Amino acid sequence: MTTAPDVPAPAPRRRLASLRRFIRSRSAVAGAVGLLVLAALALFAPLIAPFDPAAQDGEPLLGPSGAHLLGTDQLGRDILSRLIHGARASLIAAAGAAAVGAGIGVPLGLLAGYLGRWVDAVAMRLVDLLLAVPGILLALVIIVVLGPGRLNLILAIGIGAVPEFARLTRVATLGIRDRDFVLAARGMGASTPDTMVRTVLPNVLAPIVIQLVVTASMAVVVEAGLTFLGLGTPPPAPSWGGMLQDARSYLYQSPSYGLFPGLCLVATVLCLDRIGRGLQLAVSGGGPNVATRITTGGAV
Amino acid sequence: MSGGALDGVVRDGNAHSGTTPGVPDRGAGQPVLRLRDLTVEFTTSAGVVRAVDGMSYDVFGGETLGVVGETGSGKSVSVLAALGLLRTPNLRRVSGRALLGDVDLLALPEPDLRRRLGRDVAMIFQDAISALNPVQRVGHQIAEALRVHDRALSAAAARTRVVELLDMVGVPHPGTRYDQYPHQFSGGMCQRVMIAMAIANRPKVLIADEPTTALDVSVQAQILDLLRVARQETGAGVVLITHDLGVVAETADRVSVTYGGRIVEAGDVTQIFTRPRHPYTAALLGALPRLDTASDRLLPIPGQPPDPSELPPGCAFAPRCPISRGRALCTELRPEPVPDGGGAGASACHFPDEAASLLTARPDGEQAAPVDERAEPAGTRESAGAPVTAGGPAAPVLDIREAMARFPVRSGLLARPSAWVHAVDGVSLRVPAGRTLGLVGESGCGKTTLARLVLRLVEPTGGQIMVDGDDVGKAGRSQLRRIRRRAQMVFQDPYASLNPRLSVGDNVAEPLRLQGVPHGRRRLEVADLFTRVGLRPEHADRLPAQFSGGQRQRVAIARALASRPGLLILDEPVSALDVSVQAQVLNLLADLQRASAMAYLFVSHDLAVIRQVADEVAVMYLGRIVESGSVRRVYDDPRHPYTRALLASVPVPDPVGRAGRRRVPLGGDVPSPVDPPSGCRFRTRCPLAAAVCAEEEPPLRLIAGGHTACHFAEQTPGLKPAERTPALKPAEQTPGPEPAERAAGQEPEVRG
Amino acid sequence: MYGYLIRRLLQFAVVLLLGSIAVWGFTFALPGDPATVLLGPDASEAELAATRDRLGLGGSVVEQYVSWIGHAVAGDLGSSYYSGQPVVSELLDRIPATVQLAGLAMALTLLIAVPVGTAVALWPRSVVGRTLQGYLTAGLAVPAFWLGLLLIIVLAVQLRWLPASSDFVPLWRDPGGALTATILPASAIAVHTSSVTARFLATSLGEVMGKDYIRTARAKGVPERDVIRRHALRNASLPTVTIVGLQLGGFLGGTVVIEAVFNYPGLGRLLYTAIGERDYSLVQGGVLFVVATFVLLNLLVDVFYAVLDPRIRLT
Repeated sequence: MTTAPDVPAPAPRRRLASLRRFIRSRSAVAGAVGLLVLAALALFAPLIAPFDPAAQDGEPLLGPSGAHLLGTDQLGRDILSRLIHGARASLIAAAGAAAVGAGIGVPLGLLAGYLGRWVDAVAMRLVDLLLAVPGILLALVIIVVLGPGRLNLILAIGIGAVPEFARLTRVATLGIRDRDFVLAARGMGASTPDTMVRTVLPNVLAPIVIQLVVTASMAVVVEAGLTFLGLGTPPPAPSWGGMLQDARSYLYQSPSYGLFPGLCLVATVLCLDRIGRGLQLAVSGGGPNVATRITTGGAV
Repeated sequence: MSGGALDGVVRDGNAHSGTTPGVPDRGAGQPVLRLRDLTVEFTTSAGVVRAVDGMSYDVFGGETLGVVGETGSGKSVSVLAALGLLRTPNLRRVSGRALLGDVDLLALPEPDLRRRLGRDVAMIFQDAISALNPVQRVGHQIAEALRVHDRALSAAAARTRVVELLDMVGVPHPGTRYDQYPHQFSGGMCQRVMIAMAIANRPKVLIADEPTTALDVSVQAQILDLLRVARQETGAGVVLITHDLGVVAETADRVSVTYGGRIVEAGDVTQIFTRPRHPYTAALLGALPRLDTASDRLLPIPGQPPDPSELPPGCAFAPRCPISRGRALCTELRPEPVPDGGGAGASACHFPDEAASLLTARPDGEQAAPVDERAEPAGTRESAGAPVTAGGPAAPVLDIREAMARFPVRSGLLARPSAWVHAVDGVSLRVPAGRTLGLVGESGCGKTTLARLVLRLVEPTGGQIMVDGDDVGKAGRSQLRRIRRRAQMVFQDPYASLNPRLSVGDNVAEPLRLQGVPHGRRRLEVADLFTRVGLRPEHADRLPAQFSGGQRQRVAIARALASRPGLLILDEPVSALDVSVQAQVLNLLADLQRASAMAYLFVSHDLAVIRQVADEVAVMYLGRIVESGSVRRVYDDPRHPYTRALLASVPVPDPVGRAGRRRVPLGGDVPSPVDPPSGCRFRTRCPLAAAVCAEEEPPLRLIAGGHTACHFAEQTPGLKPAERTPALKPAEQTPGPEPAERAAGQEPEVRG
Repeated sequence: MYGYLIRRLLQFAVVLLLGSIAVWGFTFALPGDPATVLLGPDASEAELAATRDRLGLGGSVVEQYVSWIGHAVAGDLGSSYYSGQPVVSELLDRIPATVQLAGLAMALTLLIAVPVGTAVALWPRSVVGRTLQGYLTAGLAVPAFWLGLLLIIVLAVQLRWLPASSDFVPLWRDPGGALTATILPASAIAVHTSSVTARFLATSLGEVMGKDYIRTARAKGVPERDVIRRHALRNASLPTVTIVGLQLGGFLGGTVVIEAVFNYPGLGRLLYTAIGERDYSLVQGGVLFVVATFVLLNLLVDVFYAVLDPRIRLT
């Protein structure tokens, strides 16, 4: 009688439960759909855009009209087409910067948190150092050193995202480093790398995934900001930040020009933010925030 | 000022009623608090959960009502809901009535309710440290309780009153302590502060929600005494909510037993413990390890406590009930509480008269547990390597000699170690194959560190630890891996010890994977292991989150067995489990040991559990063993004053004759291991302490068949704990300083 | 407390050291002789010699760094290649403008964030709570520099209420003028940062409201308003202080784009222009100043933290 098998209640698997929670959040799903639409626009831009984004075939600085739905820029190029093509620059920067930030920050945080001692001290001073230069200035300086270009732009923005990833991963790692299941893994004879990768990493992933989304939205804004300053995506390629820079010069002639690229930025950030919130709800079950954006990247 | 009151209480466990224990003083007439048909519902992803399902009880002035039940039985939720303190966003509905006198608290608008909280009805919470605001001075927090109900009270007057209160609850140097912050207090001291806060306005009702659960047994005894004082000082009706049957038996006048969100039985304390009229009550008593009488085998309640989201239509206990036997009445019709003949008690059982018979049933023939048969093939396989001759002393599987572990306390500029925590300070132990060594002590005594030393999860700073003849401390990487295969660990909290991202099957298979066992064979072995620990192999691909605590602990045990160890380190393996499930796990461990002759190092703070499982016992205090020997020797003839005080502090789940069990709790807290007292480490709390104790550290000496590290081991007479005569003579005989004061005076002043 | 502060001080000293090394090493990362990099191609021989001397070129790496940092601490960061002015005086010229903008932006941020964050945390389901939550979402999604552009289009170009580009008007000379000159960029920044801060405050306040000691306060009979004021807000403000510190640090050197949008003569604009003109002396000096300010600010945050939290103060 003591060992009558205990039948656990047939509960759903937890990962599916998280997914379900995400899906139940309507705004999160809307964000995800919006992002997918955006990605599709960027991917199939040549097929969707009504005009060649480089073709100077209209009157300059036209307002919205039947021919050019959102008007033309100072060189007579179709704004709508340039916006659609411009999504590429934003999304590539977002994905690339998030990958760079996580690629450097997560291992750094994992090592610092799990090994502690001098590794932690060194990693954290490095993080402090990166934090000591405001995001946009850091990116500017990195671009000055590395030179302009799309890859360097991604690196510049991504490096600015490293501290957040490192700190987040470190805190999460510290939180479970002394938990019994990590001790148990060591007690079973698992090596340190094995424990870190197989036992610790999967259990700190949730905040990292959310931070990926947060970083992506930060990168969209910083990319636009840098391009606005003339140091981001190089000019012939269409980009939202570049279009805003042009709009800044023709404020009086065509006030509506500056509206549309900004709205695209807002829509992208909004989608990412909704996804981030949805993920947060999904992993915490409605509990407190796992990650909150604290960088001032958006304030450029 | 607490003098007279405390004295009375110490002398008489049931001072208030002055009559036989258990008969409440109904002379007070009207109950001070009446819960009527209280129902609490939550909205969860699993649907609407009814955590409290029509709970009713009365509390009279001056009496203590014990509300006892396991996790999730609704005992805490009901009072929190009644006082409007339940604030989770998924709270769906609170209905019924909570009558404070004639006022229904549930019908009051919030400001009116607040005016009564803390004034007419006060609460004492479980985790006192986190129940106090960390950034406010302790004194201010108590003063706030006064001033919020008496706007005219000046700050100076409030301070005077608070200092009085602090003094009354036994906080030493109340004037200084007033201005300190909670983190400078120990857990026991924080609970005293909570009590001071609760009685500040002399409430009519005092609700204590698991007030001693987070505390060590010696501190628990102090707090329980203090609660008695508080009841007397205020004349309040006390509701004591707890999962601990011993605490109820020691303190309550009447008892309500909760299960599945309902009160299944109510009655006076003697009746509940001697003539239970509900099978759950009876089964709980059978599942409880006892300090006074060791039984061969516990009688666990099968299955798991009910999930409030899917309560059965009939009696919630029916699926686990030993007397229901599938009777249709039990599974279909929910029993309502029916008063018994005397009118004092009630039982929500269709067959209340059959319940008491469970108490007399003893484990016997039917106890040929299925696990034995199932484990047999595996058992023979393993025992081939380590044959056990019954009773004969085998070579020790674990041999610890003068083990030592010190941790640096880093501080200052460069975080250089400025002091050392002497967590384990020269401990020697031996555990032979097939035997269980119980290691018992209060929190901070170093017992968990010692357990971790065996697997070198903590680096030793001295001594020698041999597992099967191999030196753990000197082992290289691959040898350590081999040792860690032969010695496995089971941790306290089954919610924390399984990797939540791996399925339970993968968790169990981890040790095999690390040994390079191919995937196919791992699956087979996991299935076998699951069967051995009483789990269904088909559930192997589920995640730990889907299992209850007891089931997870079985998974953890299966994982420990995977590498076929000869030694299991069990670090508080049942402390996080409910009583009914705890018995299942203890029996499982006993069966496994019988089948495979593993040696167990069983670490626990629970003296009753250790008595149940262990062959030999070692008592640890501040990093050292103070007493060791056979169970019989340590429990029946304890020679160390610490062991004696511990044994005297444990509440016994037997209200009969509790008035005669005059207890003097051990004073103060365990001193900091950073700077342990010179000489005998126990001397600061020891009633026998003399000058020699401060100068000379007493070695472990062979006395009366066991080892005791006390200069006066010969003088501590071998009194049978069954008689429970006061263990600490001087305190009892000299009427001079009273225990609480003594405790206070000797406590280390400021922590940290 | 002193142990904690001294430890933090040492950590910041390390960061400052590393930061200065990075800023110093920056010239080596660019192609060419550091002196030429700093002074540009048209420098005279005398200027080059002076700079080589300041940089300690020719000595060992350590000597070079020591020479540079020694001059830097003494206030000699070289001269701007473009204007010929000493870098330090160029920086000092811009600091009042930057401090004024940062101060106003931070004031607006807190003015919005504290009530909004509190309201969102306490009444998440009410109409007010939902509306404010909408503001937070919008504030987070709208890039500050674009909001700046919008403000210019609407308030300066269309309505002509305020100037499109903001000159620096010192507050102590003309408070009204200073306000009109700075209010647009400050608002553009504050809408975003207040959303970040408010969301953060709401989160930690929400967490604190679920703590045991809040339940204790209620059980004592403390009215809900006082529970929030006396028990919840102070605890919730602790983590928020860190964020506000980081934001203020960002304002003091990182409002490059906003300053570009408004043509505001702050430090960010100076650095941005310097980068465009390859005026590397100025860039180097400016970044060093920003790093030092940021580190100092963080130290202040830690002191403040220790004052607020007795657990830090008393251990």
